[in-house]
Amino acid sequence: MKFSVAKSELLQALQSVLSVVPTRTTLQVLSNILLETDNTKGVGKLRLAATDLDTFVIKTLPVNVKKLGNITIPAKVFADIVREAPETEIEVSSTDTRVEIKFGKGVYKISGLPKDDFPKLPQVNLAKQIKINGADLTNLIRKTIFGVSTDETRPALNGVLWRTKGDRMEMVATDGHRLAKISLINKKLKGMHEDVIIPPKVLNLLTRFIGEEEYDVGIIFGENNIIFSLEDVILSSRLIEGPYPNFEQVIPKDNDKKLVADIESLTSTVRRVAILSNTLTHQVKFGLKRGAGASGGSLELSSVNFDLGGEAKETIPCEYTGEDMEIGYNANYVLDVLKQMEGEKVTFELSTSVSAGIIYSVPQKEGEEYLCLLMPLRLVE
Amino acid sequence: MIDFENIVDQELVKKILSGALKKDKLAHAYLFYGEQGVGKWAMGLELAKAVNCENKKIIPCQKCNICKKISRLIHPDVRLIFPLPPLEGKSESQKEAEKQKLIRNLKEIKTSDTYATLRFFKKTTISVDEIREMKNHLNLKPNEGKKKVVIIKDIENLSYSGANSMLKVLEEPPGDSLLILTTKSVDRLLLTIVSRCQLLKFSLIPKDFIKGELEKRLKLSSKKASFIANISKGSLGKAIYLAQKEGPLAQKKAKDFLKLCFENDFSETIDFVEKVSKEYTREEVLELIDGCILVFKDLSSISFGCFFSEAEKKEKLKDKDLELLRTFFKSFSQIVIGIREAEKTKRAIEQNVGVDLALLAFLIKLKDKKELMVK
Amino acid sequence: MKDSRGPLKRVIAHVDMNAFFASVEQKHNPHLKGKPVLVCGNPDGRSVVATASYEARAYGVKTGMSLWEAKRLCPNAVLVQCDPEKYVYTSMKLLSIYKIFTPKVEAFSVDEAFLDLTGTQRLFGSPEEIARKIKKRIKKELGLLCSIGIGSNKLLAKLASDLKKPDGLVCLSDEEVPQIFEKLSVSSLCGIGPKLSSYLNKLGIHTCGDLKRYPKEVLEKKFGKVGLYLSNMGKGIGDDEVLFYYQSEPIKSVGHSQTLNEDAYSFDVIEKLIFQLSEQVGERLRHYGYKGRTVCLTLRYSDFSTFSKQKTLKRFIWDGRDIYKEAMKIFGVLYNGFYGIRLAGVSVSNLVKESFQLSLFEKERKKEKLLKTIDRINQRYGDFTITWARLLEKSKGGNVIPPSWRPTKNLVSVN
Repeated sequence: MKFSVAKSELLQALQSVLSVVPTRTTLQVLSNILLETDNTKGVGKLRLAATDLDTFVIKTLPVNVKKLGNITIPAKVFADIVREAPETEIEVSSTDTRVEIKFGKGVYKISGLPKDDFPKLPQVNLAKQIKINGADLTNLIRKTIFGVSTDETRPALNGVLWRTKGDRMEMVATDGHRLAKISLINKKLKGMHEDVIIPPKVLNLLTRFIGEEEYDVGIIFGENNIIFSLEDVILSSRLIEGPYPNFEQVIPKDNDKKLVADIESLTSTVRRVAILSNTLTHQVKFGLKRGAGASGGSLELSSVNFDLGGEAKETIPCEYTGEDMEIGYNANYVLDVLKQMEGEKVTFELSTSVSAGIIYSVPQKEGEEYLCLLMPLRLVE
Repeated sequence: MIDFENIVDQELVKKILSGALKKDKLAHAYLFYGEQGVGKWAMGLELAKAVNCENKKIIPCQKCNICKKISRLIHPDVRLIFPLPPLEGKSESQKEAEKQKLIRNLKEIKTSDTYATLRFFKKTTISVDEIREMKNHLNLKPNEGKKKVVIIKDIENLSYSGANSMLKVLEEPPGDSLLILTTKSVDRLLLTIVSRCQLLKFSLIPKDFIKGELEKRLKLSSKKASFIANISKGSLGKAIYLAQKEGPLAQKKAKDFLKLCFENDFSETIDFVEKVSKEYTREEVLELIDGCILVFKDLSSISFGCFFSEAEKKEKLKDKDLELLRTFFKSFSQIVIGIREAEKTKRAIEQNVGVDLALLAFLIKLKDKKELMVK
Repeated sequence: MKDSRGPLKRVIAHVDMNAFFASVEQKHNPHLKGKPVLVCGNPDGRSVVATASYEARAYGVKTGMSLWEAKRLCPNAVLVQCDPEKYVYTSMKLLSIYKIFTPKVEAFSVDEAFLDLTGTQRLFGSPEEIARKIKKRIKKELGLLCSIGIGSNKLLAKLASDLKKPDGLVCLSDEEVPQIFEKLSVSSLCGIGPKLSSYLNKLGIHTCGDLKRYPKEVLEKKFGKVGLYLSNMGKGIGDDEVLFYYQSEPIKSVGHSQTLNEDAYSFDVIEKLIFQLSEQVGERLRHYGYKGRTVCLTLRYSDFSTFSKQKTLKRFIWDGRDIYKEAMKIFGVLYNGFYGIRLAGVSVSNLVKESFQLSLFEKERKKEKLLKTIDRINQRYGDFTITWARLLEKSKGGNVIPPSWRPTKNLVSVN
């Protein structure tokens, strides 16, 4: 294999795949990056791939291909050499497992491993891909990924559920205490029926790669993996084994008490009151008092810290016509949810002090249905 | 057709597993138990190949990319967990590098021969971190293959907390997974682990089979292969080890040990014995004594002028250590006594007599013979 | 103790109130001033001397001596009943005086405290001056005397305060230590009680000089980690960490104890007390969000002898009633039935966090609990007593389970 390319372009490409190279691994080839040249239709390309066995990143960039071939090179060393090289053309060539990197008057040689040792790259079948706008995708991910669980004892919850039914696309994440669910209508999905659980690592990488771009992202659902195809980067990840718990069941249907509050003032008040909350549970108590008429209700937020001997109490106006009640929440969970609410006001649909509350913004963003569930804390006197 | 051609003997195990594979009724967790070096690990690999191989006619075919990757221990969906000795590095990165190197060495040994035994000087453990990574792997769908396979070697080295942390996944492995645990002794395992597996006993391999394998794999002469098969006690792994250790360098330890006994005064011998009993594992000490037996065998060869081959004759006659030891063991009857005492010492250690006492007794008896010789 | 360049030299002070209980009583009741006073549990019963005033000590009366022996030595001694509330109240006042000089105040016991004076010199003067100021203030505000010892660590500070009693002020510089320690008996070091010191004597260690010279590897072998501490103590090296007064260690145990107004001899009274304490502990556990596995019961008898016994359970408890049940089991073993009880304490340790966060998926948790229970039962009965139905089916399959593993009676299948 032999190709040449400008140092800056090679370095940039390398940096995008480096993030997935594992720092500790027992399979030596994983510390290497796969390089493969391609010359289809006379266009010279280089494919760089790295993986930690769970996530793959494949970056393609145009290069001057002199001879086709492939090899894997130790990632860190290769990146260091390219980084320190002068701003000039770099030529990389390999025979068997010896790799030579040349630029100006310098010749650098390292030993690599054959491509066969490297895990098989995911097959990208473009015919099966569906396209979704990058900004929409980022929005979906942002609104759900905070709810993903980190509890090792329930692995299915350690990812985001992505479900498509007819022309509707749903993303759900829950850790057993809070749940975020967003659904969109996407005409391009007609007829597909997928149900996959995606690890958060690849979704985070995806949002990073999409950045501020507006273009479409291609998505291919595999049996065991999911592939995201951007302009010159392909991300792929193993899917998490299911089954995902039946979350539809836990969405309450008869929450009869409705609280509507201004998002900004609720957020800042909860944040303040939380300063003096219990350091373990971060408990903030919501004291709801019914108002005369639609907008006369009040919400008293309070907290107590036994160790500091501190307590806080602040009341904000709200719309509430249900019975007076008290309910406790982990302040951090509340703030996480409120952060994702768009619009001016937020609605809490409640029932009892020990059951789930449904939270959604008023008004909802056009075309999307987004709600969060939050389980309370058992109130302790 | 299912063919476990890479496995020596073990007909019953082969029958059971072939049957299960054919009917697609493979258990999700197996516990292979039996002596070291009888094929537990080897069978684990063959099974991993069998469930992932792409060939339509015969599995495992050994020829497809998948079988090859598994044989080389680099298939991403077949995870291997080895017990490791304590790491000596001071910082985390030093320890990590040490661990990678160690595992690479172990894999090299096992790829050279799946029956090769892995030997350690210190007590080995399987860390809870390995179990966590294993669970992470099992919780994701497979990369390239059909089934995710995990082989945990010598699981009696798993800590109590490690064992507890894998109960759930052993009970119900997610998706399509196969867990193969191997162990030398079921009694040392947590009941909660054993109850979640299907047990398969691996019996000792008959001498003839071992002889045949030694001739085939190591190109040993019939006589030598026969001799080693006789002292390997049913373990092909041990036979391979002994055969390889029969080289001049390998027996150095045993020779040094014997020399020390006769060259120095008693207090130094006692110190040395104490050192050995502290630093060597029981298995290591037994091997040392085995080495001594082989040295005695060499001495008797020289004494009778009887060798397996010309090359061997030249080699043994050149050996200075053997020359020295011959001055302490002049007559054949003394050599025989030496071998007998060595066997007795091995038995004593196997029956849990303290290593330092047993070794000391062994050396004293040998020295006595020396005194006898002088008289 | 010259403060030179380099890291600030530690300055630790130990304040030891002289004849505390007796002094407090004498201050409280001016009639007792100048008289031999014995503070005890129960003046009428078979009590012991908790503290004797210096006047009484002149007669040879010592703490812990039985009352009748003390009265024999000092017939005109005045007996005063122990009043813990007073002493605790006074102790709190002392602490607030110390805090004026430094925030690093550690109450070692009701009448002793360690102060970290490192770096306070600029504000209040040399350590000696500070100590004098403290003594003056205590005398002025509370009318009590104390002995203060100053050293570069707690061990030395406490030793120094012991050297002059009453009303002492001793500074022990590091340079003086080897000389003083050479002939000092090991039993005078804080932390080495009579049992340990006699054991050390058997090893040939009588003085701190001996201790310093004794090979520390042997001490470590005999006593474990403590051996290393002992070796250091012989050299005068000790702990110099004094916590901030509001700093506490992570919660290791939660407990409540209470002294009764009069010694309890009746089972009902004691049981009621233990129940109450258990409920209080349970409430505090809930408040902090913890549950524990070890329950400890402490009983102090009317003669001030105190005994504790603890029991570690297989499961975690946090409910007052569960704690009470376990505490009573310990009581049955611990109580000697003889003396009356003046104080009982219940504490729970071996803590882990208990979550109050409710969960969306209750069924899942139930299943996990079931799994754990099955495991536990199998462990206890050592056989396949309970297993999953699927496994049973499989075992009917091939001859894969060798004879020794055949499940015995009580096979129950759980779905």
